Amino acid sequence: MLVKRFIRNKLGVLGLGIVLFIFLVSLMAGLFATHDPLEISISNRIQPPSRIYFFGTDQFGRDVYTRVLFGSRISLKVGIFSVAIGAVIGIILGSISGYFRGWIDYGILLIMDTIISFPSILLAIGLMAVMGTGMGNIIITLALICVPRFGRVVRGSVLSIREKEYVEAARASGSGHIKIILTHVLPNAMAPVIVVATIYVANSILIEAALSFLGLGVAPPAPSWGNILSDGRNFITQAPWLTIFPGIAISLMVMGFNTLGDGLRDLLDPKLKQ
Amino acid sequence: MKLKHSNSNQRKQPSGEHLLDVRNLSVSFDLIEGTIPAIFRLDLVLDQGEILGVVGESGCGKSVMAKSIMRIIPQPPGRINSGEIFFESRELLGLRESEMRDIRGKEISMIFQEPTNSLNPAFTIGDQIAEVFRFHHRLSKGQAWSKAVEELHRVEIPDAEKRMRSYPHQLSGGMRQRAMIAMALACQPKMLIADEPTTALDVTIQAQILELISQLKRNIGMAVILITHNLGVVAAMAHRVMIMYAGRVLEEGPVENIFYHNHHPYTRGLLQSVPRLDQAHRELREIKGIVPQLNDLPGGCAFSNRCDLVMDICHKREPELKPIGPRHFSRCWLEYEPQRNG
Repeated sequence: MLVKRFIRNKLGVLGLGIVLFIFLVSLMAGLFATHDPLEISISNRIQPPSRIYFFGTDQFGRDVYTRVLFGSRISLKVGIFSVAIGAVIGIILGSISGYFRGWIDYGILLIMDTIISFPSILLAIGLMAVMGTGMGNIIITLALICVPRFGRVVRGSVLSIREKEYVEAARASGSGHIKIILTHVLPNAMAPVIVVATIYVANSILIEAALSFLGLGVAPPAPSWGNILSDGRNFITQAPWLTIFPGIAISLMVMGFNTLGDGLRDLLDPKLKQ
Repeated sequence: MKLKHSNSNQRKQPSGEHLLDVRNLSVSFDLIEGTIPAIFRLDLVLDQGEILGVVGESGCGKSVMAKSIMRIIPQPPGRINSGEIFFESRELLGLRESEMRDIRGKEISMIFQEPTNSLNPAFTIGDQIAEVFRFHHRLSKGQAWSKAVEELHRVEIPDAEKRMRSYPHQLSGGMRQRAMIAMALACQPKMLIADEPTTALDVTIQAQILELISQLKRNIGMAVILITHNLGVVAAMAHRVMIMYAGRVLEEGPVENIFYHNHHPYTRGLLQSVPRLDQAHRELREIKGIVPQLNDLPGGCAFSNRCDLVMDICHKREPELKPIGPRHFSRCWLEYEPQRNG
């Protein structure tokens, strides 16, 4: 029933297709790769796309196609782990805040709103500058940016659900607060969380690319899409393929996650539920 | 939760003869508009196996009373200012929250007005009923499931095994209310609070649900507080009736007295505003005015600004609930003095 309705949603299916495609590619990057992503070949610097180098080569003679393939691993890892960590913390904080209200709500909201009030890219740059580059730090930074966004969404749902009669009925049948949150409130608050998650995966990937582009992200020579883009920007007029292909990859991934999110939102919209 | 045991000098110990004995209960809500006294010095007794009908207009404190007994009033903004609630000689307001949790659902159950909203949409009916058994009786998953099936049979849901796997939105309103009743009665409670159990249902389904409740009441032998604004339901079901207005009891008595020998002008007004087929020529009379805001009650008797028989004293002082017959009480100055109205 749910699956059938999802299939009818063309955009959602397209998004799911793109996401699955990128997943497969990153899983089997080694299989599709034609070169070593780190192999330097001085004699083949800045070659245009050809049959040997599908996406051309960069200023060190590395194969851009292979690097873009392996770059998807970093982007996916960063996107998914940061959102997963951010979602778990955000859900916990949001449900505590929305369910218990009172001073604990004010406290949590104060912290979350402080984080939200910074533009996320600025916050990310600042945190990365303090903590230093590296995969782990990027994930922590992006998770921190996600937390208040999830927290806000969950708090909103919880606020409305805690007033529902079935919560009162659960109280009347003897359930405690923790049990009510886990069995009655959260399962009914998850729909928007899933949608927000897909959208923030895309957002995290974009920020990671931006950080890498600025030299604050994944340390070179590891092939992240932002890194490849950053390396190519000095040659953008002579060798546009250095920036075009990673750019397309980033756009495709972001579009995939965003359309998947839209599709899921339509699917989980209670007004469309029968 | 702090409680002021004020004016408890009268009868501190429970008499033991009543299942439920509520004394001098006052509940208020602290809202932006000010403090709203939702219930003011309410007394209530309920005996084993008895059905008490609680009648009143919307906002007269019926549901607040029910939730106060269950102690599920959200605090804040709610506040229980005074009173004692003795249930089987235990004082509920003084119990720890964990002790209260054991009583809720097991010894005192509650069913709500809107069965659609009272069931969790994310789980099947079966899961939700089985949960009650697992929680209160610590049964295993399988045992709880088969007990839940039995319970559905008892509330006469056809195809019980199949319905166990249904989600609430797949059932009709009447079926959902049956499922709610099954949940509420799963532990064979000693007392059931039914907060407008049939208001949201079709008339034909109403009758079935009421019949079901009274039948189950006979089987289990539980006491029922039936909250409603439907006088017909009360006439058919209740042994005793309590008429509430602005958080106070205005008249209370056996059902025959309330319908045929009522004393309070408000009770009379309520009865006259019910359309009747057997008296087609009779004019339908309304009670003049509207229910006053609880934080803006008239001085003296709360009903004085709407009463047809209002006297001077009504504006000055509020009468006490006065016994006027066996188990029959009325809160009206007419009971104190000879009628002087013109």
